[in-house]
Amino acid sequence: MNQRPYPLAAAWQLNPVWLITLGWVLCLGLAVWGMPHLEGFFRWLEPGQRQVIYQRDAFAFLLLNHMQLVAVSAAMAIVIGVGTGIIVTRGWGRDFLPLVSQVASIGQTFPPVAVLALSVPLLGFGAKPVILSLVLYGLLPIMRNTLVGLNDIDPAVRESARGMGMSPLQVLVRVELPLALPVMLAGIRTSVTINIATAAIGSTIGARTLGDPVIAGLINGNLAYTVQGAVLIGLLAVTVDQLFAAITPKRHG
Amino acid sequence: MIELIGVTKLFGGRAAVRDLHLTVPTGAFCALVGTSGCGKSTTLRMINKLLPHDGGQIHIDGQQISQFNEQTLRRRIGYAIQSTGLFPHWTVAANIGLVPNLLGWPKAKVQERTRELMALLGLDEGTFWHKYPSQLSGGQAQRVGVARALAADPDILLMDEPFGALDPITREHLQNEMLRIQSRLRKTVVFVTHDMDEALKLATHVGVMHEGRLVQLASPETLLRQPANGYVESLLGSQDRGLKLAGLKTLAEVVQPDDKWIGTAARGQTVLNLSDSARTALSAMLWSGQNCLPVRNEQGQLVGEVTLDQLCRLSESKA
Ligand SMILES: Nc1ncnc2c1ncn2[C@@H]1O[C@H](COP(=O)(O)OP(=O)(O)OP(=O)(O)O)[C@@H](O)[C@H]1O
Ligand SMILES: [Mg+2]
Repeated sequence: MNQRPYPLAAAWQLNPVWLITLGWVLCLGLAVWGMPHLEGFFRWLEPGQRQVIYQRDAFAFLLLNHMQLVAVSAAMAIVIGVGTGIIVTRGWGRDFLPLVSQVASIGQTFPPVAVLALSVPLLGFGAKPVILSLVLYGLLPIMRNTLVGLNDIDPAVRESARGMGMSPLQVLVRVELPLALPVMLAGIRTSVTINIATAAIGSTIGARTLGDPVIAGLINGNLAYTVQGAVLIGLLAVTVDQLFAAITPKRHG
Repeated sequence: MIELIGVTKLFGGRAAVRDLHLTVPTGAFCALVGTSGCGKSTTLRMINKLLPHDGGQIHIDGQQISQFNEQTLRRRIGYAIQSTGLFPHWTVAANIGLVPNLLGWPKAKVQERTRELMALLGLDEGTFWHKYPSQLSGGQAQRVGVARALAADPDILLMDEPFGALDPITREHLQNEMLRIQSRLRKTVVFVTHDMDEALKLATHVGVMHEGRLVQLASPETLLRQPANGYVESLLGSQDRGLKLAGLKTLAEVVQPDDKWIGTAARGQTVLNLSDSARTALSAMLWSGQNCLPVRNEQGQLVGEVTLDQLCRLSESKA
C-alpha cells in the first residue's frame, strides 16, 4: 500500500533531535559514573561531614530501580488510561464518560504523599505502594489527552471511514489512534515526567530510588547527598522528556 | 436499483424522514433537493446503513438492506460527502485506494486502479500521488473524495453535496466532469444538493423533499413544466423557469443539420455550437442583437442556423 510511514516511522529518520537526546543520555551516564569522582567538589560544599559521597547503594543501581518503578507504573497507567479513553468514546461506552472524567480528576487532586500514606497499611512498605500511587497520579493526563485526541477528530473523517466500509476495529486502529497519537503522546510525556519526580518520594516508604540520597541528605543535614540525588533526578527527567520530543511525530501541512 | 418503501426515520421522537417512497432505477441519476434540514442527508445515510431506519423498507437490487452485513454493503456503495472526510494521515493515493485495499485487491491492481481514477478526475499523478489532504485545495480534495468513492467500481454512488462550498467555476467544471463520467460509467447515483440548477443539469430524476417527505419525483423537464405545488415552484424560482427549461435543451434538438450549409462561411462574429444549450443561444441573441444565428458541428463546420422563433416555440412544445 502507498500509506506513507506516518506517523511513527517518519520520526525514526535521523534528525537533530535524536542527537540532542543522545547527548542527554550520555550526560546522565557520565553523571552516574562520575559522581564519586567529584569528591573534591562535594568536600568543599560540605566541609563538616566525614563522608561526602552517598555510598549506601551505587548510583547506577538507584537509577535503574527508579526507572523501573516509573516504567512499570507508566505502562500500567497507559494501558488503563488509553483503554478507558477508548472505551468511553465508543458508542456503547459513552454512558461512562462523565463518571470516568470525574474519577480521574479526583485522582489528580490527591497529593501523592497522601496516596502513599494511605496505601502503606494496604500494601506494606516497598515498591508496591509507590507503584500504586504513581499509576493513580499518572493516569489523568494520559486519559484526558486520549479523550481530547479522539474527540478532536473531524466527525466527517469518522463518518467517511465507516461509510467506506471499515469495521469498528479498523476505524479505531487505522484512523482514530494514529490521528490522536500526537496528543496522546503529549499526555504520556507529562505523566512520565511528573512521575519521575514523584517516584523519589517513594524513598520515604522504603522503595529504593534516586530519592534515597536526597532523603538521607535531608535527615543527616548533608547537603552533598541531597545535591547528588537531585542532580540525577533532574537529568533523568530532562533525558526522558527529550526522548518523548524525539518520538513525537510532526503533523502534515 | 434502489427502492425506499415508506421509509421513516425518527430522531428523539421527531420524524426527520416520513413515509418516503423513492425508486431509483439502475443507471439513473437521482438528485435530492430541498431546503436545509428537510432530510436529504438522512435519507442518503439510511441507504448505506450509516443510520438505521425506523420504519418501512429499503431494497437494493431487490434485496432488503437489513439482510446485508454493514461493511460488505458499504464497500459496494461509493460514498462522497461535502467535507470529503479524507484521512489526513494518508496520502492522496492511499485515500483513493482505501476500499480496494479493504476488499483485499492485490497491491499492483490497487495501484493501477488509483492511477486510472486520478486520470479520470484530472489529478496529475506526479503532483498528487504523495500529497496529503491538507496540501490540497478545496476542489482538488473534492476530486479525491469522488475518486475514492469510485475506486472499487461500485454500482451505486451516494453523494452528499460533493461540490458544495466551491467557487462557481470549479463547481461547474466538476459538474461537467461528473456528467462525462456518468455517461461513461452509468452508475446508479443518488446525489444530494440544495442547488436546483445543479440538480436540473446533472439528474435524470429530481426528487424534491420538504419536511421529511418526498413532494415530487420527476424528470427535470416535467418538474419545470408541471411543478407539483407552490413549494416546488418556489425552489425552481418562478421568474426564470423558462430559461432553466431552455438550459435543458441543446441546439442539436432544435436545428436540423443540412449539408447545403457546409463550406459556407459565417456572416457575423457570433457562431453557436450544436452542443450549446438553447439558453446559451438566447443569451447570444440578446447580446448580439440578432434573431438568427449560425450553428456549427463538432468539426467546426456550419450546419444550419437557429432563429428566435424556434427558441420561443421550444417551451410551448409538449406543454
Ligand atoms: N444525528 C442526528 N440527531 C438528531 N437529529 C438529527 C440528526 N441528524 C439529523 N437530524 C435532524 O434531522 C433533520 C434532517 O437532517 P438532514 O441532515 O437529513 O437534513 P438535510 O436535508 O441534509 O439538510 P442540509 O441541506 O442542511 O444538509 C434535521 O432537522 C436535523 O436537525
Ligand atoms: Mg445534508
